Amino acid sequence: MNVPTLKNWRTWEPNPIVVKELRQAVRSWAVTGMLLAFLAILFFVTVGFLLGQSFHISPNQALGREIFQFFLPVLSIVGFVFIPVYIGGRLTAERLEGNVDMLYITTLSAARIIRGKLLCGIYLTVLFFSVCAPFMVFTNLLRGIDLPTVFVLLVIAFLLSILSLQAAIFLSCLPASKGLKLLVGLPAGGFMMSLVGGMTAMAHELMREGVGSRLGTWNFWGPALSLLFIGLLLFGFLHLAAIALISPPSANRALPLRGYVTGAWLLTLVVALVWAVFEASPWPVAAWSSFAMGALTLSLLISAAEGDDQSVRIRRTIPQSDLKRSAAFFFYSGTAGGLAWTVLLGVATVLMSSLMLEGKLLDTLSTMWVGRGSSHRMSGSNLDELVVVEIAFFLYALAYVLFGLFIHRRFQPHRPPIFAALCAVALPTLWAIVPNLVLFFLNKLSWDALQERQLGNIFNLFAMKDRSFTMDHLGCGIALATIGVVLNLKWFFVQRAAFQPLRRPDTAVPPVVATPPPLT
Amino acid sequence: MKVQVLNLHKRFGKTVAVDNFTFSFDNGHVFGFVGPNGAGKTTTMRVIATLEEPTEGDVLINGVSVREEPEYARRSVGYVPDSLPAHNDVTVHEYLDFYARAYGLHGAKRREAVGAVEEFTGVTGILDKHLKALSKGMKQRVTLGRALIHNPDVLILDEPAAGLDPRARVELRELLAVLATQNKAILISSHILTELTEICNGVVIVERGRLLESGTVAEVLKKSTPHRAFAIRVLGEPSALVKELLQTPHVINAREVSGEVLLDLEGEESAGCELLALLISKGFKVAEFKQSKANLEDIFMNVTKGGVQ
Repeated sequence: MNVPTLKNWRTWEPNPIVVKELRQAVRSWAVTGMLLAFLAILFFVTVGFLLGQSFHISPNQALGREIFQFFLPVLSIVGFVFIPVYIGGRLTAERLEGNVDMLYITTLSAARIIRGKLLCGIYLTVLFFSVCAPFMVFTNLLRGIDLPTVFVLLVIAFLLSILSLQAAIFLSCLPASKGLKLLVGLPAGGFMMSLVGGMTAMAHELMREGVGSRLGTWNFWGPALSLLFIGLLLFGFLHLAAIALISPPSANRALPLRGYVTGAWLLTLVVALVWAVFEASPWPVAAWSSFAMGALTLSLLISAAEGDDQSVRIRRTIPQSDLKRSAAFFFYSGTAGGLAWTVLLGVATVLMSSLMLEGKLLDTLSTMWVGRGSSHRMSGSNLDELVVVEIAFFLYALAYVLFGLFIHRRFQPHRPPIFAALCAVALPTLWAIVPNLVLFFLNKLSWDALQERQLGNIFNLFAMKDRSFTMDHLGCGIALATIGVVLNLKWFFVQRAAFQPLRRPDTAVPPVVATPPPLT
Repeated sequence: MKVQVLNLHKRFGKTVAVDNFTFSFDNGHVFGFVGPNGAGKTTTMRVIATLEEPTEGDVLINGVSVREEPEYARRSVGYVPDSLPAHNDVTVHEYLDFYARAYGLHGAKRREAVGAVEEFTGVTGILDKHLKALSKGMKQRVTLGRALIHNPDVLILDEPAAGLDPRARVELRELLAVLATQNKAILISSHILTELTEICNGVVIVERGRLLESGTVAEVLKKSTPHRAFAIRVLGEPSALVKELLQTPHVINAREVSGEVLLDLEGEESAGCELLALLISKGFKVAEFKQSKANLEDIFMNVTKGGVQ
């Protein structure tokens, strides 16, 4: 990593991507135009408010707050939407035009490329924020808002801008066509706009109550640190995922991501546990468990799309020792290893959830740490249902992924590995749609019918009229997953056996073509 | 710096883009990579430039595998793709400066490298121009400059003359001729075969993902055209000469074309001398007697079957 230190400060040079991107940004009409428009808006809004106030006899004690409430959405739109769209759009264009190939033939790593794009976006964000900050601080002089509130809101807006930026970079790295990216980008853009709305609402609430008085309380820092923690985890994941997406297929793309997710899984488990004990509520653990299972289901699909072929680059890094190789199998790129890693984490999640929610672990920890008993536990039926629904959901997902892999391997082996993942999505979707479509044509489709027992329908788990169906779904999930495992067992063992370090032939390479005469 | 392409295979789904290519070229050599569209030229070049991973086989650069050590290959290879740069809001100087930075060149070394490349490729007059505003010829020069910025020992050029006007082609050829004297190993693909003939001393001919011929131009020529072609012009009626030639041993396919007699002759180089002596001894007034030199175009036409995929 190219970081300036005391030793290298004379020779240190910034990331080439940052230099290039900033040069382009300075010349770009989009950035300079936006900056000028932004300045003009801030200036004329301030002047407009001040002029309006001058016609009133009584002074407005909340003028500063009113102006600030106008500035913040403008800044949020720039930070959450404009800069991410600009940086993401540029990266998308480069990837589509083939220029990015040129980046790959230099010695720049994928990580430096992504970091360069991100840093450029951060510089631009700092530029816009530093333009806006004096205007926002000025609102303090006009009354109605205190300085801590201004700075806290600026920090929150800045952090959310960075997260939006990283999300935009991640989306631009997706291996999809321009149209598909636009299709994915539109809801993402909608989400970013909703962030602007959320930010404005939160600012309104904070300004009404005043941040200054709450800065010394856990009521402020508790949620703030929790959100920061979740934001950081998400940022880290999107950053590593973007690097993995633009890394060459021959690289061990899964290793950093699986390592990160495993670390995040452990960290979030500990945080959820501590939170649950101190808040005397099992909900943090229940929320952790549900989120983890959802993320792992997504991981099943990603693993299915990885494929079986392992490049020479990966194989030469496979450890020689049996023990290390067994551990590496779970973390290295490859469908079999990915599925094994996901199932392992899934089982661990279910075990931990059961131990903490249904067992006595949470109660014991509560008694040990804060001297409280088991009075805060959720009711038994709720807990049973949550864990069972999670297990059934995961088993269904696993079964469909295994069916997808089997179909790909057996019937369409020439198609790329993503075909298996597409099958894994198509199968449950078809199974959920087709029977209901038949009911529709028989004029028997009703909300009641949708909530009937529909075994194999993964979506039915979230819309059942009778809670007793959960156990039927669990049984069906076990049966389908067992069939899936049986269909893929041989393949899995072949893949595990093939996970071996590279062995080079000892023979020297013979000369191939007679040497031609030198040019005259 | 020896580049060895060994049993290279590359498949895209069911399509076999490269089927067992094996050839090599060394520094100081310019190898022409010839084949119709879809023959596997670009794929092979992208594998050498580490932009594609081969399905099977390998490419060794100085004995180092591009699959195992792509970083080494990237430092050693300069690649000119068939697409031209399309970066927005970047000047020629900034573009070259960026790639110098990307290859890890720092400070004075970087400025020197950029300056030298700008001078060599003749873009010093357009340094402040935006890439988008350049002509194809100038873009190609900038791309060549980018590929040379880290002074690579191996240069891979994919259709560098495509779409260029005659003047730009001549200028590009001159640049390549200079590079060939700088002891670089150069692999160049082009559809304009006459141009390759002038600068190449080796050739690789491919078609539909299969390697048909590879080696020095002379070797391939010998293999692909076993007969020597001659053109003879005599004073007087050429039909008499044709009649005589048809009865001469080792002469194949003598025919009259536009007042000249064309023929194919079996045997070594001395066979031509013997034939000339024979004709003179038989009283033919030979005004012109020349051996037609086959070029890459002839070799290509002889070797390939015109199939595409």
